[in-house]
Formats: sequence, structure tokens, C-alpha cells
Amino acid sequence: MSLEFAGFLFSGTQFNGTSQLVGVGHGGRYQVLRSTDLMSSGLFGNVGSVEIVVTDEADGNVILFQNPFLTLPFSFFPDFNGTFLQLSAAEAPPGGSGTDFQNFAWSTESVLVVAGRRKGKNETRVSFSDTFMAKWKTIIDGFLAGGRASRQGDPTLTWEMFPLNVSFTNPNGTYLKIFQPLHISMPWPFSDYAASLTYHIGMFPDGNGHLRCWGQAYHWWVDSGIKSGHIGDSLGPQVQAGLGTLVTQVNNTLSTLDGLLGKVTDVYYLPGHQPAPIGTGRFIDNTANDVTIVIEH
Amino acid sequence: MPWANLALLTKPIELKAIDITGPGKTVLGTVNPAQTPKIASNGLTTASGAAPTPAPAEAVAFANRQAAAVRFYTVDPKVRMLGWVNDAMTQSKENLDTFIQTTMTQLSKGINEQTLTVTQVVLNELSRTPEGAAAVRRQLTAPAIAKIILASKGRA
Repeated sequence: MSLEFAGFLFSGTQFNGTSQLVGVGHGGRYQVLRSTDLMSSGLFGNVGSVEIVVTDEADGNVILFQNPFLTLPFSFFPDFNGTFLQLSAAEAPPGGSGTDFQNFAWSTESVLVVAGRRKGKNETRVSFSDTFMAKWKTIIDGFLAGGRASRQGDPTLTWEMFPLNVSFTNPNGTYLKIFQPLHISMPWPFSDYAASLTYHIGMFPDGNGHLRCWGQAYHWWVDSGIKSGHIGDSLGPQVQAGLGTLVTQVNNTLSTLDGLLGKVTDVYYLPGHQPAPIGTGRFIDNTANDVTIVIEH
Repeated sequence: MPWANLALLTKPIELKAIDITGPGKTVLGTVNPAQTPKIASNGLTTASGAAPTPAPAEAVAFANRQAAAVRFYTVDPKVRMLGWVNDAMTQSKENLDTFIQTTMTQLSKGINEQTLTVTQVVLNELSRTPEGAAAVRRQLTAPAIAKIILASKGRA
């Protein structure tokens, strides 16, 4: 195994305090540091400086995620979600370069280390939200039409990375996630109910070098009440069937890229809306805002 | 509206710049004001299921390949049993810099997945204290790390 890039996280603001050495191996893409990994180094809730060392092999990205429900570890809020600070070092001349970020306070709950723009590879970025938001609204409005359920506002187009305790997903997997709140209109004397649906899908290059997606899992939820079971009896099958419709529609959209990129060899995700590489610098966004799909070809 | 009862799960996106010293500039993401506030999507499940249609074989193969490209940080306690680690512990005469130099010398004998992982684990063990972290940074300068990256790709 070789390295794409490496770096240090420090608890202090001036490359002091406790630290952790991180890195991504050759052919690798991510290093994963969950909240529990940070705790052992005194870095949970507490990263104040970062050094990233790159060569001409790849860009180095260190992404620090905050828990919006703040200070409790082991909370139900999953890793790699919420507002994040991305520190990026663009690939450097072969001799290497250390890129230093310091004097900041970022309450860090989990970290992803991501290699990008690997040597010899081309990349094209696609915004999950820009590409699929309008289409999603059409899809879901279509399969809910005629029933009591309707969309409650816009969906959250986000991701689920290396999920723990999410049914029917793989803790080694990376997924795009669509969360749609629903409103259930009820007849008198019942009050209306809240509900939601969630889909997990993944992207992959097929045998022809074209980018496609597969459906991984579906989830739904209904408010507690006398009518929950009755609502679920109707909503559940709709949600289950809707995943297939979603996959078909997403693949129809992806097929418009066929031939434009050449052979797709890999696909990975970056959080938030970053349609162009930020090069060397800093980026602050939220995982609920968007996911950037990076296509390697 | 029933979702109003779940206001605690609703957290509009707020992005603020922070003070940070370093190259480049800080770019803030753009939140589309036309979109409704983002509702936290975690932990709301009554029922789940796998996709009714199984993933294509190519997708399964890609997912397996992608999983192999992920490094999780795992610490093997057997590292402390390695001969060179115990020798370094005794021969370094409680000098952290000497211990780290011995660790890096060991790595230079052959860079592969196992030796890189062991080196990372040993150095991170030392970095659990500020003194150890400072010693690691003294020895593992940016040029030293860059040499390791290039050497690991046969470009020494």
C-alpha cells in the first residue's frame, strides 16, 4: 500500500496539544474517524489546527463535522453529518508541500479524510440537489397523487456515509439519501398526521463505463396515534414501490452523461455544494444543503 | 400542522465564517432561501426494507471495491508485542525523539499497508499526550512525510 496524502489533526490552535496522524492509502479514497476514534486522541469537540501534506499524487481534504445537538458523544445524530469545515490542500509539486491551517475553534464530532483529483485521473462534479431536486418533486408528487399523503416542503437531498445502525445499509458503504417529510390529511374527527419517507441509493460505474445508480433501502415513519397503523398500511407499499421508480428516473438522468465523460472508473461524494474544486483553502457548508457527486473518468 | 410538533427536529441551516489562519480563502456554502428549513432526518423510522429489486452484480462488485478503498482507524493491541517496538521501548532510554526515529527507521525497511498501519498506530499512541504529539511533529516534518508518500509509490 502507498499513500495518496497524509496529515495531522491537533487539539491546540498552534499545532500543539494532542494529535492524530491521518492519511489515505494509494487507490484509497477515505479515512474514517468516528466520534469514538477522536475521543481516544483528545480531539472530540476539540480540533484547533490541521496540517495537510500533499505531493503531486492527489489533493488532500480534511473534513471536520459538527454535531448540531452539540456536546454529547454517542448521541443519535450520526457521524459525518451537519455543518462542516473542509480544509483542502491542492496537489503540490513532487517534492511535497505542507499546508497549515491554525488558530481556529471547531467543535469536531467526526472527521473524513478524502483524496481527490488523483494523479492521472479526470474528475467531473455534479450537484445532487441541482440535478435531481425538481425531478424528485415530480416523481413523488406522481406516486402520492390521489391519496391522503402529500409533500411537506422540499426534500433533504443529503448523504449517509459509513452508517451504523441504519437498517439495510452497509457500515462500509456510502449512499445518497433522500428524506421527504409528508403531510397526511385525515377526515374528521381525526387530526392530520406527520409522516416521512427516506431512500438510500448508491452510484456505480457499470460494465460499459457509464454512471448508474442502484436502490439500497427504503424507510418510512408515521406519527403515533390511533390511525398510525392504517396510514402505514397504505403508505408502506407506496414507499416500497417508489424506490424502483426513483432508480429508473435517476438512471434516465445519468444516461444523459453517457459518452460525454469517456469511461467512468470511479465515483465518490463530497459534502455540501462544491461544484468546482476549492483548491487550497477552506469551505463551510452543511450536509443537508447538498451532496457533490464526483465522477472519476 | 403536525410537523410543527416536531419543531425540535427542525434546524435551519446557518453558515457562519470563522477566523482561521492559513492559505486560500474561506468559502461559505450557499443556502437556497427558497427551500424550506431542513428538517433533521435522523432516527425517524417505523419500518424499513431492502430494495425490492436486488442491486446489479456490477453495483455489488463496485461497492466491495469501494469498501476496500476506505481506511477505518483500528488499533491492533498486538502491536505492543512486536519485537522492534519492545526493543525501541527499552533502548530509547525514555527519549521520545529516539523512539520515533527508531519507528521511522523500521518503516523505511519496507513500506506496505501493514508497516504504514503499524507506524500510524504507534505514532498516534505517543500523540495522546502533548509531549508525544510535539515529538512526533518534530520528527515527522512535511518534507519527511512527503518522502514517505513518494517512497510508498516507488518514487523515492
